[in-house]
Amino acid sequence: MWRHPLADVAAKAAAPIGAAFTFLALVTGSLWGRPMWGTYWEWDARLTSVLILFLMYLGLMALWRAVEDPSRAARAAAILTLVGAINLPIIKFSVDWWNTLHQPASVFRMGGPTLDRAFLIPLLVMAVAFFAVVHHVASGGDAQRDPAPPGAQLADDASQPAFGVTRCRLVPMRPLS
Amino acid sequence: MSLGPYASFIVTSYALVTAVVLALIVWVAIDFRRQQQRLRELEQSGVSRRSGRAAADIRCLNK
Repeated sequence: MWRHPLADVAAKAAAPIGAAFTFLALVTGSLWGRPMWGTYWEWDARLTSVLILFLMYLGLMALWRAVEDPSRAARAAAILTLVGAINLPIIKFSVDWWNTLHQPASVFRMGGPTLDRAFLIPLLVMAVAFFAVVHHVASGGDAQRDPAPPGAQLADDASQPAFGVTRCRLVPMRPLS
Repeated sequence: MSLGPYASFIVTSYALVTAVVLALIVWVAIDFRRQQQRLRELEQSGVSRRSGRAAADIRCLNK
């Protein structure tokens, strides 16, 4: 789990998607805020902390492009991600910790959700769909239907990294015992 | 179908979400092709995935 190369690849691939959906949340929320609150934007805790999240995503994407060496870029991005993770509970609890334009927690709260069913049901359906996709990808996804051919794995070469192998040469295939 | 007094919000939001999600799909498709091209270049230069060594056995000289 720790220092797994795929973790860096996953983080790199997820950043633009996270940025896109955070952007959508900010802009559509702002459009909704105009008729509801009478303003597109207010520097309240929830809006500001989500804006910081969006800027963090942009920072991650910029960092990957700015550092030429992928391993150094991955380390810098991992540190920025850990620092950015501090923002997550701040976003969640911002409406409880500070007096904001947003209503307090309306889904996960003592006494049950106060969200209207018209919003709650689609929210839960999408949450289940999201975790189904995550589970599908985490458990191998389509790769399980297209496994490597027999003999593809070299038993005596398992210690070699997947990429970055140097000083190797290709020799004709021999049957593997 | 009448969308009521919030029609402009609804239409704008749906249009924006559609545009951004379509842009994401296009970006993922382009990035997928780019990564495949990069993999082909790596494999042609002699680097291969451990799971994809059916065509050739690789022996490292530093063993």
